[in-house]
Amino acid sequence: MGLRWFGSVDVPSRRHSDLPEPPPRPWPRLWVPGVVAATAALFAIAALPTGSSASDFLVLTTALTALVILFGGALVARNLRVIWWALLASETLAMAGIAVATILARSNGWAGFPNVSDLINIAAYVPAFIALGALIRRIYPGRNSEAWIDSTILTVTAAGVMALFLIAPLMASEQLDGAATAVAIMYPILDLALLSSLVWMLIGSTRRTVTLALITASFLVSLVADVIRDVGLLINPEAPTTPSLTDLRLAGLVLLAAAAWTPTAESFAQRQGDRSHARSTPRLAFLALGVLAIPGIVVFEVWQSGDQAVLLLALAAMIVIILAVWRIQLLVSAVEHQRRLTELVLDSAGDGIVGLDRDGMVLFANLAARKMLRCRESDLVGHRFHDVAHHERPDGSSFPWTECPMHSAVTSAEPGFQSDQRYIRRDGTSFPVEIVLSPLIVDGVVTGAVQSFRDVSEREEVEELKRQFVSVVSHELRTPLTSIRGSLQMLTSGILGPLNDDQQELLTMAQGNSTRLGTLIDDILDLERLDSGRMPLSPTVVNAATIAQEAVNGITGAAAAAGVPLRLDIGGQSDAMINVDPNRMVQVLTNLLGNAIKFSERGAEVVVSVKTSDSMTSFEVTDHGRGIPEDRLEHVFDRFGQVDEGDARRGSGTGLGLPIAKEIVERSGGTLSVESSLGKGSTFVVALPHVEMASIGEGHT
Amino acid sequence: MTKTILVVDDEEDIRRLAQISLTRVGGHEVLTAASGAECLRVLEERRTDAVLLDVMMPVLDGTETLARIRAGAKTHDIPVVFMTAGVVESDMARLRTLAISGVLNKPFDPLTLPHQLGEVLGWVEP
Repeated sequence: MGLRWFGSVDVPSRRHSDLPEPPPRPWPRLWVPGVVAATAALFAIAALPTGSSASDFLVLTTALTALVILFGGALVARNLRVIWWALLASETLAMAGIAVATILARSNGWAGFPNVSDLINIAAYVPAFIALGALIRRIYPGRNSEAWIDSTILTVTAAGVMALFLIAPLMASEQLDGAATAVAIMYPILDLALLSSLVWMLIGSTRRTVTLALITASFLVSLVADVIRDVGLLINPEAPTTPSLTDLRLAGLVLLAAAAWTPTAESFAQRQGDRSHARSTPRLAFLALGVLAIPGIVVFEVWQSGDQAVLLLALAAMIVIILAVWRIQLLVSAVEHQRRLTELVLDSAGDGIVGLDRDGMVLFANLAARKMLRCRESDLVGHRFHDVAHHERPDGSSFPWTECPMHSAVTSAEPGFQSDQRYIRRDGTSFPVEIVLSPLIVDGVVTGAVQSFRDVSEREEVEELKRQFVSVVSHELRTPLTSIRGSLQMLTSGILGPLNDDQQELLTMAQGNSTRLGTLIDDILDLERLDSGRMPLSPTVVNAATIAQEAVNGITGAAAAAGVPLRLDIGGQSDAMINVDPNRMVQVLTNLLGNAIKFSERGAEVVVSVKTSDSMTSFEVTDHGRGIPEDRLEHVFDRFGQVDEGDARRGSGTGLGLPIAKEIVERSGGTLSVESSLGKGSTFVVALPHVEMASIGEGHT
Repeated sequence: MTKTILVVDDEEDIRRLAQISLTRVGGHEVLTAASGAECLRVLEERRTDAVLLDVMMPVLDGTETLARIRAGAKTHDIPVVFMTAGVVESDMARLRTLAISGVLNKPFDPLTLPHQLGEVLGWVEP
């Protein structure tokens, strides 16, 4: 399994255990008795007299047995291999047809060469080629042309060698007519073509290759049988096909049947790793031998005829060919090395990395992607990723491809970042992902996209745990604090009896600090609710001046206690309307006012004003305190950010009030900013979108 | 205007604080119960002017206890005030549908609790 672009890597076998178990195979191990019976039948045929009808009958029986076994193989095979086994079976069907044709021909007293059975025989090569094509596509996806070119070279070479001793004499033979010569030549050439593609698959494959070897052996037997027949034709054109040759072809069929039942056949689908594990060098060396064979023959021929100049030329050609193949081999290993490196890098990455073409089809998927999605490479590559793992929204509704961020990435080159998506595994479960989409642009044209994604379920769990922790801890802190505060309030009030000055002072101190702790817990809970989105704001259209008045009313006591005069300046904006959650906005202003009072000297005025501009209505809270140094200004909204070390002791601030205020303002669609000059004071500005009276009217209709 | 009030809360500290507040600040007579079941037992024996009932209690929670008070022949007309912490709007809406006189927030201020209770029950002018 792996990357179509870069080769492949096996998915670890434990991953397969995550997939649904395949149904149990029927007819377990039937191939063993099948092969034994077929072999016994072969020996029986070999012992029978040449050309007897008993021999023909046994030929037919054996062919039918092989046929049944092959169809059995097709029945229990899964996926694409069904086609493959079915095609091999159809070839066997053709063989059975030949047997019938032979019997009919013989009963009519005619058994020349070629006859009807030869036509059926040659027709049977068609499904065999289709089957091999399917096999190559299945085991070596993306390497079709490579396989066919190599096979053709091998075929032509072997045919060239064969031309010397078989084809040329056949063509020269005056005793054979045109049809007989053509059929006689066609047989070994077709065998060679099948054989060479099988040899191509076999060579360089480092995995268990029993199945391939058996199939190759079967076609090798066919080749030998056909060559013997042709040689026989050369010696005596009138001789009918000998039964021993038929036996040989039957032996080939038995080998095919055995191949259909080898356990390795089952694992083909999971053996796509063959591509990366298969080494090109042995194949290349084999190819070189093939390529050298024809010049070799030429050298041999010239040697015989004794033309020194042509001999030298032929030798030079051979040397050039050897060097050229060597050079190609160097190139191939460099490419392979690079491919493996790329593959290793991609597969070592912790994030899922998936290449998409312009239609969103998967070009490659690295190991992490396949692990997370619990998919085989074949489940992804060539399929639209969105349809495989992204076709449903978290709420279960269907997710059209055109609305997918991947769609915009591959069509309009829009890079994307998504953190709220879920991918669906092959088993139907889903997990939250964070996706980064980068379009692939070649010469200014979008050719697809690369997406990397990451399973964030752990992170979500940690977040949830943190939320729970915060709320449980806060609750556990709040409960004892309630009794502490209540008790202190009762004691300091004097209701339970008079206190001396020291007692009063200590109890007041304890009460002040318990109040501060309570505020801190409330603030932490507020922040947590804001972070997790569990603080719902209920915006309504309210009068800004009313909000400001309410906040001022609430804090008048504290201002008076601090000796800070408080002034509300509505300045003709008594009609300004804003769309906010009134309670939360009062909380924001109370907070800002509290800060202003805290940092004001006795007698320094704090002013709240309501102002409007074209689009905004703003609250301004101005103090005349010491101001905030410029380098601290950007940190005043940080959590637990105090202007300086002394602040924590000076005020009863938690360092959370301003971050909470900012969060609430921003969630209400506004901004919270601050201006300050050292020694003169600070102004906090809450700017909110203005609500037009007209739009309020519309809202009510 | 001394009244008899039953304070029901599973947390002893809160119970005691409410009791001290209602007796010392409010001048009422206070009975306490640590669970919904104990509350029902006390009410069977003693007639009280009001019940201050915690909503969040194990086994028999406030709502269930209320239902049994309302179902009791001797207790069905006793005014009940809920005490609850961290009320959100949806809970509040649910509580409003119940046959109670009102809801007080926890944590309460012991200095003002008697007054708030009096307001809710109509014993004092708001």
